[in-house]
Amino acid sequence: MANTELNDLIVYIETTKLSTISDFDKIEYTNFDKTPIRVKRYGAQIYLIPNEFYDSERQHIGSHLTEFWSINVNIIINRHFTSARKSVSDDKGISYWNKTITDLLLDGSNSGIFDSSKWTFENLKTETDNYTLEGVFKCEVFNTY
Amino acid sequence: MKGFEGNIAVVPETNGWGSNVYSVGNYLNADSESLTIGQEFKDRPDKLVYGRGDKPNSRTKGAQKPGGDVEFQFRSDDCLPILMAHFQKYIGSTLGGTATGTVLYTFVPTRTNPDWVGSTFGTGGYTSSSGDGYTVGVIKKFKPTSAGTDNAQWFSSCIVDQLGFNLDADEDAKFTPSFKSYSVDEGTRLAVDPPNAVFGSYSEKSAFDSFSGTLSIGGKTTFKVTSFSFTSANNSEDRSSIGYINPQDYDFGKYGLTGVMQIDAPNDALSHIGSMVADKTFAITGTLFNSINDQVTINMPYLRYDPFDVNLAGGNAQTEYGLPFKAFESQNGSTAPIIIKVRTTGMGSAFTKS
Repeated sequence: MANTELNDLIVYIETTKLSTISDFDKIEYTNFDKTPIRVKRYGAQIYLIPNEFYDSERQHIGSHLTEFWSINVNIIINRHFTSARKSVSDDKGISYWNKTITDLLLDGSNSGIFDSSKWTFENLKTETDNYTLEGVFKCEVFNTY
Repeated sequence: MKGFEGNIAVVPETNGWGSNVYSVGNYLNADSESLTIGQEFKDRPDKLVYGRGDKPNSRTKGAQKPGGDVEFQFRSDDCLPILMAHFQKYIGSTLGGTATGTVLYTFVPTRTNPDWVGSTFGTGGYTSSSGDGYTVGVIKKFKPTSAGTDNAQWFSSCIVDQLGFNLDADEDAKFTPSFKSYSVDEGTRLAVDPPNAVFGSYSEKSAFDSFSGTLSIGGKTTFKVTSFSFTSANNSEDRSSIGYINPQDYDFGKYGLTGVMQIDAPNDALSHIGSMVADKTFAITGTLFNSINDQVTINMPYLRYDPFDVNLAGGNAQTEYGLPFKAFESQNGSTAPIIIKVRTTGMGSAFTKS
């Protein structure tokens, strides 16, 4: 099997998974720029943090590397909720998006391109009528060189 | 005294068991050692001797069973005498080959006991008759500067009863020979440090890292193996004879080779259970490769699984399991349970360092 590269992982997140969510009006990869993107209502932003997105270990015998990728995937909600409580409990609120993205990205092996994967919700940033669920997609890849 | 003030050398012996005629060998990149004299002192408090205090004369000394383990990071040249002292059979007509160019050295276990007299060491094929016992000297040297002298324990005429092999991911490959010695000189003064013309030097070849290895298991190279180890055992017996403080031989028992590999479970891991239940034969070929002239190949053509289970790990955890195996010779007895091939340069006859 061919080695799994960073681009394969981003295509998996961007095209195979996130693009299946019809609510998103924008899915954008912003390289190392984590300035939140502007969305009409719901959207997703993918970016990398320098020095944090890659690590590797020799875990197996032979010329193999077990590689650990961390790709930041933020979900942006741009809408007015009638109350702070509602921003969490709304059927398209914070709780919904946390569950939806966790479900979407948990342990999908994408025909074996990586061994395990999960999206972890790490932080919530709020401004007036704008909510950003900051999270990281982490996966383990077995590559032979 | 720090560990770096000592050293361990292995020198080939050219005249066989009990001779202590040695030639130039190698110092080992040792990780640990447990070499001891192996002498038991027995107190006899039940003797009917007057007084509550034990008398020193009541104490008795047992025979010596010198030897011990040395775990070391091997190279393609420094492992040769140890392999021969263990397997006692070198496939080829000229023992150890020549000193010039690259030589392929092939070892298999001897099928019967070696003779414990003489120096016609075991050569030929696996089915050819055994030779005389090939031995090495093992020298453990301390250098306490405060004493102003050098001192060493010299274990002469060692066979290697058990040979452990271990390769963990992200580690170096290691052999652990269990030496059994004819005699030990526990206080030899040696004034030489490595390198020197008497005992040799440290190998200048590269160690074998885990990523230099490939493993073919049942013809497949796709297993994700995290560790691989086996123990090859001559199962020799320790016996003491009246009139001798030293062992007179170490008669070999039945040869045994067992091992285990730790692997990440593939999707078809349970099919291995079927192979185990059916007692199917499979082969492992492992190669440690630094260059075409510096490599070790381990081939075990007739393995069978020992019982094992595959149990799922947690939802987000890697399922790992150990595959235990045991090696057999072929049913017709013509093929050895293990064949080790070493390709290296710079060694002379009888595995002497040239």
